[in-house]
Amino acid sequence: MKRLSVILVVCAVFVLTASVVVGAKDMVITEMISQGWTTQADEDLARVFTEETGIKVDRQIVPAAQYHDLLKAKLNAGEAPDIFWSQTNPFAIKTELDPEKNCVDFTDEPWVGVMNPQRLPAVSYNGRVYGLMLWINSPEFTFFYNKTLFNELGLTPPTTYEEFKKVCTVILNAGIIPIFEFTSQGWHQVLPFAQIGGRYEELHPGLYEQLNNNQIKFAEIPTMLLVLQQLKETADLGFYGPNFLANDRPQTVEALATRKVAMTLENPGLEKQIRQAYPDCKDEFGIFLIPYADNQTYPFNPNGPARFAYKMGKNIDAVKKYFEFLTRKENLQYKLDHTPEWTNIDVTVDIKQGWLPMEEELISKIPPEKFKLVLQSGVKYFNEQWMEVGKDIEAMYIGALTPEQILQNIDERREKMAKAQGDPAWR
Amino acid sequence: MNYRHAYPYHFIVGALFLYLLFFIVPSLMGIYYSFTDWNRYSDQVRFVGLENYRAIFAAKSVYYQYIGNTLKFTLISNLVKIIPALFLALLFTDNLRGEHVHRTILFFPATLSFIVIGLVFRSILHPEMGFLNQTLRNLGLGFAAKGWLIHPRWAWFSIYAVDAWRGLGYVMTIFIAGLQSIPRTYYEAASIDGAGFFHKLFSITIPMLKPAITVNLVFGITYSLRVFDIIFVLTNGGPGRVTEVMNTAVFREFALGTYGVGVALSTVLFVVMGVVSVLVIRLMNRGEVEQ
Amino acid sequence: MNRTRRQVYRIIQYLVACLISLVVVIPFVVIVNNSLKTREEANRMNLALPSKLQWENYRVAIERGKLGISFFNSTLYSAFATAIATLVGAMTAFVLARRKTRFSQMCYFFLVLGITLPINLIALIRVMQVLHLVNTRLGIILVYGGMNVSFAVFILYGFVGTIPRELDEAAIIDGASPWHLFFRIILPLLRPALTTVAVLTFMGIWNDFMVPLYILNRASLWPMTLAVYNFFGLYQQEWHLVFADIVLTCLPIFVIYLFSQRYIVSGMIAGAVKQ
Repeated sequence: MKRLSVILVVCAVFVLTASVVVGAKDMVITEMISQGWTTQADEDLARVFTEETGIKVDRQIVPAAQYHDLLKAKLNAGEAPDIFWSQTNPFAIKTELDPEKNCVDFTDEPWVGVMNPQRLPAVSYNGRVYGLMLWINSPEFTFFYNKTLFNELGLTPPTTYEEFKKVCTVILNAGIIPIFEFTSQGWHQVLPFAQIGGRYEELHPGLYEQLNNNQIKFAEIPTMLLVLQQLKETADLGFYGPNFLANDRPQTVEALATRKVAMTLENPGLEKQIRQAYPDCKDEFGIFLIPYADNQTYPFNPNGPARFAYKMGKNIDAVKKYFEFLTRKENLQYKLDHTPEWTNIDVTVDIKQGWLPMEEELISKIPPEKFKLVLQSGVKYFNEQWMEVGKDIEAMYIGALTPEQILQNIDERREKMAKAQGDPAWR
Repeated sequence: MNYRHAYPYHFIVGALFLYLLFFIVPSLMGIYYSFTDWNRYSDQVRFVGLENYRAIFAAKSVYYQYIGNTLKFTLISNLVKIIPALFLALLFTDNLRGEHVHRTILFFPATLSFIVIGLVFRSILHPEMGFLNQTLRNLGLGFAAKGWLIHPRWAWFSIYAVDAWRGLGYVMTIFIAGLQSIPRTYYEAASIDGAGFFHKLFSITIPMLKPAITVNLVFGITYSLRVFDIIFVLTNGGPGRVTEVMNTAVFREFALGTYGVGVALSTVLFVVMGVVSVLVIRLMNRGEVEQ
Repeated sequence: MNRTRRQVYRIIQYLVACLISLVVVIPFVVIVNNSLKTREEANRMNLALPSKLQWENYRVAIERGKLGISFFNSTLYSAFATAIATLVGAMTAFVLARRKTRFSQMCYFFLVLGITLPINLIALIRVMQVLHLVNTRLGIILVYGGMNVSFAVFILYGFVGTIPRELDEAAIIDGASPWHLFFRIILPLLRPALTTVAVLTFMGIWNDFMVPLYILNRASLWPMTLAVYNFFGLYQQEWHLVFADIVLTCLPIFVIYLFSQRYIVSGMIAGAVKQ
């Protein structure tokens, strides 16, 4: 017993001294981020901010597969961090964040003007601005491919699904895995289906509106079914390689740089990452549009991950200071220069942007009418179930679900969410 | 002797208070919500009666598969732990040289957190870079290298294996504790009568081990019915939904924002577990009376 | 004849024992071995020894992994919650096991049911808000305390039954108060079982990550499990660092286990097995 008391006393002393050290009254703002949305540059900027103002930024990085669940649980319980990131769009912002209840209104902050006005709807609700979106304006998630390798094999970027299959077959026969795909984070496998929303809209004019008014269901759209079937075929023909279910995003750079694979759905900034990590890599790279369902539309998406501030947070003034700091010209420049994944930031401030030739080349070739809003930004109740669709597509790849069932599942979940929200179109 | 004075009920206030406040109250709140349409999209919570339960037990509901998976996991994971653990316990109480070292080693995995186990085994079982497949290939056994966590045929197998790796030592330790409390003289008497290993096993060891077996069953069954962590960290219910169980399904309902259904699911689980554990605890108490 | 058979049998026993231990140990060897390699070597994931020991990895992991503060947090939460759960659990088990009334039986069942209860984290956050305990160290300690009471009562209840009642009677006749009786006589006798409960509870709390993930909003309050999680998120491709981080996270619990393992077995004999 004596020994136990001694241990307890020692513990108590330890705790007391430690809590004095730890609890030294610093102002701390907490920030919760999903793993893929932030880089070392943000960490650096947060440190500079602390040096400048004495306000600490406590950044919690949560793996992507759990991020959404966690954020929703915290918002629902009324206990969110001061700053949280969310990938929203004009339709989803209400259901994802309920901004009037949860988010600080930033409409009158001077830095709102820093964002490209095209991006404001995604962070606004009922005419008020709630978020700070600093994101790229690049051709997002098109096929990034090894140009040199394509040339060696006598291939050109495909524009139809049939061409795409031929290209993949040639690459596969050359002993190289045609496509780097990963499903482990739960979101990437949904991109080829959703990024070509413009193609569905092109073939069924007015589709987005009909979907939003519940006049048509996903299961009734043959092109969507076709795309899922084509995806399944891509996997079955071995174009993803035998073990793609175990792949993960951080391996992308190595896979492309060492010619383990020939292409992947990624952002153009991947080239910068390759040059930095593999200076010996002499291959040239390019991008082409996702050719499923013979798509030639450009995935226009003015929405990206954005920072929001928690309305019930106790440090709102500090957060405002932090956002003002992040949107200063020199700090935006720092962020861009130290983020190899990015080639630009979509802001109105005059910073030195670094668009790659491949981006300009692709965009210059696309006629204006082919710039089409992606599915997740144009259709209600889809973005919210992104991870579930990801699970379903993975299930399709292993043969546990059919493409038809995936579309039915999407419709069922849309109905569930719409009804829960009291959407009049679903009454 | 006066019970009230010697054993005052205010001694149990602390435990009951903590338990009620942080455990029972949230759980009861949860059960209440299972009868509502509580969801992320609306502030109003409406009473909907049994609708959530009806959705779970609807004819073509996916939850049957998850319930089936949970029961399958309960059965298999306990079998592959309890039976080998019993033999290991016998082995390591047989005056083997270094048996203490072996026991220590076997218990080690139980001290690891699931998050660490997940990271380590996802790396070890990776089909290309993983240690296991690399080793198999180096030994010329490339044909045995599988997609351990990503192939529908092997995912459950790998989960059972990792779960056994983690839990075997714990189960074994409880058996060892039980074995050490069996008087040597019983075995000596049996040996004089010329009883063989299996005869002794079934007529002395297993009957005398009944309390230890019960403890292992209670812990094992309650653990496996509500299994979450090991699956979450190894496969997250994948590939597809092959390894989805009740608690990962609950987690997913919460992610979708349909909290009412999620809570109803976890209530179903609770009722099943409650019934099972009361049965097992009853059984155990009866054993005490018989002795 | 019989002797050779015995010897063969013995050899088989040794072989089985070593094989099993080897299988259990290999993952640990992989972790430690790779934590001392360079990035390129570690990504190859084989059993080859490091060409040169990279102690540097550990320095980097400590520096970038915020291990100091999270080690402090883990120790704090585990130690205090364990102390609370064990103490109140022992007091409860003592009273309930001694009074064999209907009410005490019911209490016992009610408490032990907690071993099976699914915890509802969202509802828990609500309760914590009402009590102003969200994002506090005290809050998480009390939650862990409450969550582990059931286990403590379950194990200790059986053990109290093995302490002869005559001891109590003698003490009461000598005029001892219930507090005196419990703390001076019963508690010391409960020590092996208490240690078992304490060690198992401590390890359970140390290794948990769901509760802090939901109820703590600050990385500075996170325990080591979440620090590993965070670290892995940032350095996914740098297995040498991740493994070094893992080794450092597991080390304290290994040490505790090594020093207390004899109590685990003896306590289990005394507690669980003599139910």
